[in-house]
Amino acid sequence: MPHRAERKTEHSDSRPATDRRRFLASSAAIGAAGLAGCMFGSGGGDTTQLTFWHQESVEHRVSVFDEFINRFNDEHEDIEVQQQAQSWDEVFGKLTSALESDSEPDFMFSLPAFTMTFQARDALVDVSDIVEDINSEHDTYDNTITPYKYDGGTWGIPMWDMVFLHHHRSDTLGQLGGWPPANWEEWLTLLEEGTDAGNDTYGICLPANKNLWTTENLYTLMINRDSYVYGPDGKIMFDTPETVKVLDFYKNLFNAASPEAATNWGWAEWERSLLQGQAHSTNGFSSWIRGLQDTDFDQSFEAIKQPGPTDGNPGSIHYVNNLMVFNEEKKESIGTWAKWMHSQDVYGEWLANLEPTLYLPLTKTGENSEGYWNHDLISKYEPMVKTQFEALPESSIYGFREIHVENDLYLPSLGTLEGSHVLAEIVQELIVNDKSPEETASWGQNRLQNVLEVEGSDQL
Amino acid sequence: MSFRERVDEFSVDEVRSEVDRQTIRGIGLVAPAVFLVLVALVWPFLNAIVFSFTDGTTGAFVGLENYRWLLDQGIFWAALKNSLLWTVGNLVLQGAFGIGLALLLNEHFAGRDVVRTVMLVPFVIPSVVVATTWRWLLNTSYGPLNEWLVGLGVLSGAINPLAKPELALAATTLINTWRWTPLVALVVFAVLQTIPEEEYEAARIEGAGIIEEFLHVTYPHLKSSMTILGLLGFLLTFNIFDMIWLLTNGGPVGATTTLSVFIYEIAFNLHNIPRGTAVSVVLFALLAVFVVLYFQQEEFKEGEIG
Repeated sequence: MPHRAERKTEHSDSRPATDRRRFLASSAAIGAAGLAGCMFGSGGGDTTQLTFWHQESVEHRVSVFDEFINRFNDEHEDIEVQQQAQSWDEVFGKLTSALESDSEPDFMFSLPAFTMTFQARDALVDVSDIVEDINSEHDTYDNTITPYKYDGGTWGIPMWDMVFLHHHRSDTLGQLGGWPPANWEEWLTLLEEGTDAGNDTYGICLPANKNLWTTENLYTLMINRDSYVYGPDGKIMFDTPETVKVLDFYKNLFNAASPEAATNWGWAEWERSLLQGQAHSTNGFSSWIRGLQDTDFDQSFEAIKQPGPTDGNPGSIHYVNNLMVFNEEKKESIGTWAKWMHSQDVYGEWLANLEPTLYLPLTKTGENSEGYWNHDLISKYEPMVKTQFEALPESSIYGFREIHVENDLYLPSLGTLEGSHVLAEIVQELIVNDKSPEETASWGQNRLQNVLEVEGSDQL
Repeated sequence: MSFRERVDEFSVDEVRSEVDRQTIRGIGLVAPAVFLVLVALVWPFLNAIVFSFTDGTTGAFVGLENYRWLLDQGIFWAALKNSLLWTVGNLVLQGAFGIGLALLLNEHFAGRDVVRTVMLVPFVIPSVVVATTWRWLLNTSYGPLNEWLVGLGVLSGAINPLAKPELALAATTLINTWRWTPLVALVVFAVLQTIPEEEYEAARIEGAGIIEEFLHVTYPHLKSSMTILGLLGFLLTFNIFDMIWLLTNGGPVGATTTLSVFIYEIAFNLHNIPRGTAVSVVLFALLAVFVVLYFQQEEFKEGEIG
């Protein structure tokens, strides 16, 4: 046996070689472990890992997602869900790149036009069976499934709805004789009556900037008048007498009762105008109720269904949020998650906390859920939320109106329609460039054909 | 072979091997940087060019279709015109105000150092803050600028130039000028500090007035710096997206839609990245042509710069 000193010398002499061997052995072990992790890690034994994207990146919404994800993961040993919050501004480019590099999430929250854009790229999995299961168990509103049923499948699992209402000040407009308005004509008269431009007070904040808010505000009125972007043949049918009437009403309402500066306003200016008492009403989603609590007007707002013209249709625009699924192999687990989110004990409570008064349950189970109605803000604005439920069955969205559904139309250019803000551009031509409604309708027809690259309808 | 020839051959070989060693070392040192540039810039750019020949939905090769589409779009030509107006307007105004400001700061007066520091504030504020502030200032309902101007009788009624098609491009140009003028002034001021006082004294002895002094003493010293600033300014200003987008979203009715805004709209609003890429490639080609032409200036040819 060598002496200690000798051992030390021997050890010292051989140190570099030993270290190299150890290094190589360690590297190999780490490499193998890493490789194994990559190959088998997603299984985590018998656990299926699900990654989803959503665009609810506001802090409190991310926390709510976290809370419900934890609950789900605790209840499901074989599935582990994790969220990745994205921003609407960037998600298109990010998802496109992710699909190119096969690094897309397993599923993500989306909206009808966005969903159709990716369905047209063959990126989505048909989820008809999951949607049918949820419908049979919880009774889903039909018009929340419609925007996802086309091209021989159902491409989105409806998760919540948002409906346009006319929100107004009960202490000013609500006190006018004849309120609430029964039709467009009365609506215009009353909002004009509630306007005092000299004192910087306006009956309504009607937008005319090139953004989604303006797009929605125009289209919601088009629903009342049989005015369309796409005709029954799926081609552009905008330049019609009905559209001229809508544009005429929009222009009259803007000139009579809306701040002139709204031609340049985004969400921030619009919300400020409303919450600081300048504009006394808005036609839109109830997205600002949380902000309203910090003002003196929190008791002063009510909502009615959007009035329609005397000879027109009831209804307004709605946006149904959905899940679109990318991963066929994990579809069953994704279905488990979606059904769990829709379950009696989860659904209402989840939506109430995610964004109270804005995100509306789209099943009877959710509508009747105590967890939903027990939320402070929802109980405070119960009549407003009930009006949303009344408006929901009559609501619609571009590409999924009755003439489109009846004719089973497939309109992949819907994503472009929404993203391009071309309807808002049309409003800008009407208001900012002061074109007549007839000129604007004709300009809009050409612009829509050009931007969407769809021919004019034979019905014109 | 003579002794002399053997020595010569030896030294040539030695020198050659030394040169080879140096070349290899040089290549070795530069290689990581070149590799990074290739990976981070050249490869994505070449990829983008390839992408511009594909269909936005199917990804199929479509040849020059995206470029043909682009040239048919009236809005492309309008955006190109807006880009040129925006860039030239900004360069002229920033140049004029920047030099003017620098000349003022070059004079000795009480509080000059304070003014010099405060002057830099617009330059250090982030774009989003600048845009939000100006949107607030110009708001017709609660913006103080309108209130003051109407109060003083300068305006008969409140007006938001960002919402008027005929004024929007001018207004965004002025706001951007407000932001970048301090940088120009700072560079010019630094050059002014290097001009020997004797040159001004000599000019004055020769009877030069303020304008002659500027033309014959100041301007020749500024020329090189302004040439470089002009090049950088043109490239940077032509590509500005954030300020325009934050102030007007390219509106109203497309009045401030420059090529950068147009690219964003096509790629991310119309969801057609290949077409957006096609516009980017055209934009790159335009700027490359500009740079080549710019380098034809005498200053570059005579090697006065660099």
